[in-house]
Amino acid sequence: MSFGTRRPWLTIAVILGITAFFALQLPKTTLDNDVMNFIPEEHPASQAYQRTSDLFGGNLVLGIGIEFKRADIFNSKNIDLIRGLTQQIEELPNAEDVMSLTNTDFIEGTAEGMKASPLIGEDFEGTEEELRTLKSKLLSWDIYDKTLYSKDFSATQILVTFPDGLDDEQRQELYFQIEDIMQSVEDVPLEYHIAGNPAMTVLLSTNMRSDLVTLIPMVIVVVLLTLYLAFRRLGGVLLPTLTVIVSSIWTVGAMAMLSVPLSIVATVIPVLLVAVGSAYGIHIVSHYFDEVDRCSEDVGKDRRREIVEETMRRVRRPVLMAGLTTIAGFGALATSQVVPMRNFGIFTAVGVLAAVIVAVTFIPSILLVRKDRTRKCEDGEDGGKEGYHPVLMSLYHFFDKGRVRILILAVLVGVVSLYGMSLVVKDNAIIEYFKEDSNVRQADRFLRTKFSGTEFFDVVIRGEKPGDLTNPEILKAMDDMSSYLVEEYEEVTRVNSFADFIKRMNQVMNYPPDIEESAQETAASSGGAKEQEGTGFSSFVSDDSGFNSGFSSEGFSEGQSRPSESDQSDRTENQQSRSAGGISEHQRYLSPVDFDKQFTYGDFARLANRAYAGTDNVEMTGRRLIELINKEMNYRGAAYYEIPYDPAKYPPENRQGLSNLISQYLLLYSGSMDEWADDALEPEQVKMTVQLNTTGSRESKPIVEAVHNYADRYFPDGYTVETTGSALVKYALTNLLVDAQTRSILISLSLVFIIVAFTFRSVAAGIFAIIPLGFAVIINFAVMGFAGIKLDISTAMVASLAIGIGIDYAIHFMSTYHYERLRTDDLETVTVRTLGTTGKAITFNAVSVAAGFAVLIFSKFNPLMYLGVLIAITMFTSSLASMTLLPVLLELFKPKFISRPIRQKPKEVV
Amino acid sequence: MTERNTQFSRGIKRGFMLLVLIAGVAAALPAINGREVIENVEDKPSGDTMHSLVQMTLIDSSGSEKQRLIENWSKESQEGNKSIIVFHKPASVENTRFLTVENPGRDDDQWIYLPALGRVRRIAASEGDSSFMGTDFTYDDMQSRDVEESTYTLLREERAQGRDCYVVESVPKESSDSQYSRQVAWVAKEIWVPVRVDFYDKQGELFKRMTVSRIERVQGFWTPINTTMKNLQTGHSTKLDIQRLEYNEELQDGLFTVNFLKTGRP
Repeated sequence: MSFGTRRPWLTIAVILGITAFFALQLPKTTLDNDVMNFIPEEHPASQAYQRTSDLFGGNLVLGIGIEFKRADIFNSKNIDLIRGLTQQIEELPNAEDVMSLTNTDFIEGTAEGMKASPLIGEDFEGTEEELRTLKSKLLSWDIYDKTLYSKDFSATQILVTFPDGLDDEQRQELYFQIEDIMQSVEDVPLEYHIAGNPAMTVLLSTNMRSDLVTLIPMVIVVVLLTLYLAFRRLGGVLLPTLTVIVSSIWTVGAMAMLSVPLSIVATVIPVLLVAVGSAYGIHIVSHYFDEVDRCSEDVGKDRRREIVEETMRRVRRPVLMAGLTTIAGFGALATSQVVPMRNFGIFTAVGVLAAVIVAVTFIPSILLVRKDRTRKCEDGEDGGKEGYHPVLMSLYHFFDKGRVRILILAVLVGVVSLYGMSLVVKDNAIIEYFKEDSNVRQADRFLRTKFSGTEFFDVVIRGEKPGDLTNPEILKAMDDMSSYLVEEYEEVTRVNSFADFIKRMNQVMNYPPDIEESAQETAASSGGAKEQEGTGFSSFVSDDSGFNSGFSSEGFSEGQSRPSESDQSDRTENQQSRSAGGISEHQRYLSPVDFDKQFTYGDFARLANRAYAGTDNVEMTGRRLIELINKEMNYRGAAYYEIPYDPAKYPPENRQGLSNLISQYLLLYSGSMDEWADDALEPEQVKMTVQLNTTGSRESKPIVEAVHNYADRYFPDGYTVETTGSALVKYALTNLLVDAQTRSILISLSLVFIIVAFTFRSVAAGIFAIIPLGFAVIINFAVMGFAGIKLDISTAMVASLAIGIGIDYAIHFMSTYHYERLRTDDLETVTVRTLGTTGKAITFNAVSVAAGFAVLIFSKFNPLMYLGVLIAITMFTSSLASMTLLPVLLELFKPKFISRPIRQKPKEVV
Repeated sequence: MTERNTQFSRGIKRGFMLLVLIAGVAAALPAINGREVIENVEDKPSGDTMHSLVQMTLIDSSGSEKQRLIENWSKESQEGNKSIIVFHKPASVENTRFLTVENPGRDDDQWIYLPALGRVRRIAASEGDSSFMGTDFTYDDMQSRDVEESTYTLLREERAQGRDCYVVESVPKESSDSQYSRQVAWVAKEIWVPVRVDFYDKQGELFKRMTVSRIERVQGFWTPINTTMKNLQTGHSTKLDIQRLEYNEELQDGLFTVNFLKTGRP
C-alpha cells in the first residue's frame, strides 16, 4: 500500500481535513419522517394524494382528544375551557384550520327558512337551557357524532389541520406549541390525547434525535468492549473504532451536504457503520500486532515500516474483498423505491466504502507515526484461542459424527422456517413504530375507540363536465355507498361526504311551515302580486317572462325555461296530477303539522308502528326509532334528510330540475364547500372521506376494493372513482417494501454470488458461499413469522444487511478451507485447522457485530429494536451455518474448486 | 400595571404625541387624515338607486375560467339599504333571487328564492366572511362598511393604477369584527375610488389584493368597472366586470319584497 505508507503525515492530514469538512456539514442535517415522503413522488399513490390535496386542501389532521374527569362536555366550565383552548390554538401562526365544539357552525331549518349560527354563540352563558339546546343540536345531525363528542359525552375533540407545505421543524414547532397550550390547563381536571399523522411525524423525529444521542455512544462502547475482550489490547481496539467514527462523519456529512434528510431508519446508519466497519480496521491492526508480537526485541522505526507494509500487502486484498461484498449487500437496497430505504442503501454503501478507504490509509499512517514505544512481545493469540477451540471442536465433532444428522436437521429447520415465513405479516403501521406504552400510542388508541380514528382515505368522484356532481343519481349512489361501508365494515367508523351536506340542506329547506305562519304567508303573497304589477321595473336580461330591458337586449339568459316563476302557480296542480292518490307525498310532508294537537294512545301506536315499518332490521336501537318517527312526521324536515332523488316528492319534474335544485342548495353554502367540491355551484369532482379505526395499512385494502366494486356496480356511467389518502399511501408503502425486500435479497445474493464465483473462478464456489446465507435469511423470516414481528420499513432491510455482513463468514471459511485443503487431503484435519484459525475470527466478528446491533434494543422504536435483534440472530445463524453446514457440504460433495489451486490467490484469512 | 408604570407610559405617550405634532407641522401638513379619506370614499355620491349587470370570472391558479352572471338592484333609503340579486348564470341557478334589507342597529334581513324548490326561505346567517358564489370576494367585501369600526392611518401618497392616491391603512378596533387583521387601501384622489386594496389575514400575512383596472364616470358617478380580486395564497382570482349600469332608475318598493322573490314581478 504505497499511498498510505509513503507519506503518513500527509495521509493523516488529508483524512482529518476531509473529516473536518464533513463535520462542518453536520449542522445542515435535516430530518424527514413524513410517511408521504417515503414513497417516490412519481408513484401513483403519491400523485393521487398530491392531486387531492391541491384540489380540496391538505388533510394532515392532528386530533386532540379531551376527556373531562369532572362532568361531561355539557358543562359551562368545560365549554369555557374548550373555547379558550380553541382560541389559543387558532392564534398559532401555522394552524391552518381549527375545528372544535366552540367554533363550528350549525345549520338548521326554521319554519321560515334557514338559520346558520355557531353551535355555541358568543353570548353563550352556559345555562342549563343552553346546554340542553346544544346537546340536542349535536344529536340532530350525525355529522358531529364521533367527531365533536364521544358516545358517553365525556370527551370532545379539537382537530387542527397542518398546512401541507410545512417542513419538519415547522411541524415540530406547531406540535409543541399545541402541547404547551394543552399542558397549561390547570383548573379543570382532564386528560388530553394528541394523535394523528402530524403527531406521529413530529414524534418520530424527536424520538429519533434522542435515539441518536443515546445509541451512538452506546454502540461505540459495546464494540470497544467486545473488541477489547477479544484482543485484550487497547491499540487494537481504538484505531478501528476511530476509523468507523471518521467514516460515519463522512457519511452523515455527505447526506447533509446533499440535502438528503435523515429518516427513522437512518438512525441505524451510524450503528451499522460502527458495528460492521470496525472489522476492516481490525484485520489490519490485528495483523500488525501479530507481526510485532513475533519479535521479542524493540521495534525500530524502519522495522515498523516493514511490518506495516507487509501487513498491508497481506491484508489489503481480503479487506477490499470483504468491503466489496458488504457494499454489494447494502447497495442492493438502493434499488428500493422506498425513499428512506434507498437512501439507507446508498449511504451505508458509501459509508462502508469510506470505512475501507480510511482503514487502508489512515490506520497504516497512524501506525507509522505512532510514538516509539518499546513493548514486550506478548503471546496474546494463544490465550484467545484456548477459549474457543473446545467449543468449536465439540461442535465440529457433534456434526462430524453424523453428517446425515446435520443435513436432516438442516432440512427440518428449513421446512419449519418456510412455514414460519408464510406467517410473516406484511404491514407497515407507523403508529406501531412507537412502544406500546408511549403517549402517542395511548392517544391513538383513545382517538380510535372514542372518536372516529386517526386513519382515513379519500374517495374522489369525478364526472365528465362541470355540474356532473349535482346529478341526484350519483349523489344518491354515493350516499348509499356511505351507509354500505359503515354497515359492512367494522373498521369504518364514519364516512363524511359531499352528499351529507346536500342532504342537510335539503332537510333544512324543506322544513315544514308552522300552521299560523303558513297561513299568513299565503295571504301576504297572494295579496301583493297584483297591486304592483307592470310598473317601472326593468331587467337587463330579457327572458321569456317578458320583462323588457332598459338597454337593447343581447340576451344574457340561456333562454331555457326552468321550473320557476312562470309555472309557479301551477306547481300545486302539477304535484297533484302526478300523484295518483290525490295528495302528493310532497304535500303531505310539507303541510303544516300541529305538533301541539291532542294525541291519543291509538295515534301513538299507529305512529310507532308506521315508523317501525320503515326499519331495515327487526332489532333496532332507540336512536333509530326516533329517527324513523321524525321521518314519519317530517319533524324538522327529517323526511328530507336525503338526496332529492324522486321527482314525485319534489317540485321539479325531472332529474335535471333536481340537479338544479342541488346547485341552488350549494349557493346557500356560499362557497364554503371547498373542502368537498371543486366548484361552489357546479362541481365536477367531489370528495368523500372514509374514516377507519385501524392502525395498519393492510386493513384498508379490502375496504378500498369494496369502494371500487361498489362504484363499478352501482354508480351511473360517466363517473370515475379514485381512492387516495394517507391510509393508501401507507398501503402503497407496504407493497413497495415487500417488492423492495424481494428485489434487494435477490440482488444481494446475485452480487455476492458473482463476487465469490469470480474470486474462486468457480460457479460452485458461489453456490456454496450463499447456502449458509440463504439459510440464515430463511431462519430470519421464520423468527419474524413465529414471533409476530411485522415486515416493516426496517425489518424489510434485515435480509440484505445480513447477506452483506454474513457473506464474509462464508468467504473466510472457504478461503482458509481451500488453503488448508491444498496442504492435505485429510478432510478432518482441514476442517479442524480451518475452525481453529478462522473459526475464531468469524466468532469474534459475529459477536462484535451482533453486540453492536443489540444496542438497538434500547431504541425508542419497535422496528429498530426488532432490526437489532434480528441482525444479532442472523449473525449467529449465518456464522454458525458457515462453520457447520458448510464443512459438511464441502466434505459431502467435495467440489473441485476447493481442492484445486487458483491462479490468483483467493482471499486470505486474518 | 403599577402606578409607576402607568405614569411612565403616560409620559412616553405625551412625548410621543409631541413628536408626532412636530413631525406633522414639519411635513407641511397633508390637508387630510386617514379617516377622512375613507369617509370621503364612503360618503361620495352614488345615486339613490343602482342597477347593474355584473359578470364574474373565476380563474383558478392553472388559468381555467368559470363564468357567473348576476344582476343587482339596490336602493338607499332612510330605514336602510335594500338590494336584490338575481342570478343568471350558470343556468343551474338561473332566477335564484336574493333580497337583503339592511336594518340600522340590528342584523340584516335576508331572503332567498330557489326556483327549483318554489319556496322563499328566510336566511339567518352570519356568512359575512364566507365566499360569495365561490368567488374571491366575501359577502363583507361587497358591502359598504361602517367607518366607526376601524382606526385609520394615512401612510403616504403615491401613484397606483395610474392615479395619484392616498394610501390608508385601516385596522379593526375589535379584531373579531373583521376577517382581516388590516387592510391597506390606495384611494384615488379627487374621485375617492379605492383602486387597490391589500388584505392581510389574521396571521398578518398578505392574503388578497384587489385592483381596479378601469374606472368610468357613469351619469356623473365615478364607478369601478373592472375589478380583480386575487387570493395571493392560493393563486385563485376573480374578475368583476360591470356590463351594464344605470344609476337613479326609478325602482319601486315592490321590487324589494318577498313577493318579488317569489313571482319575479314587483
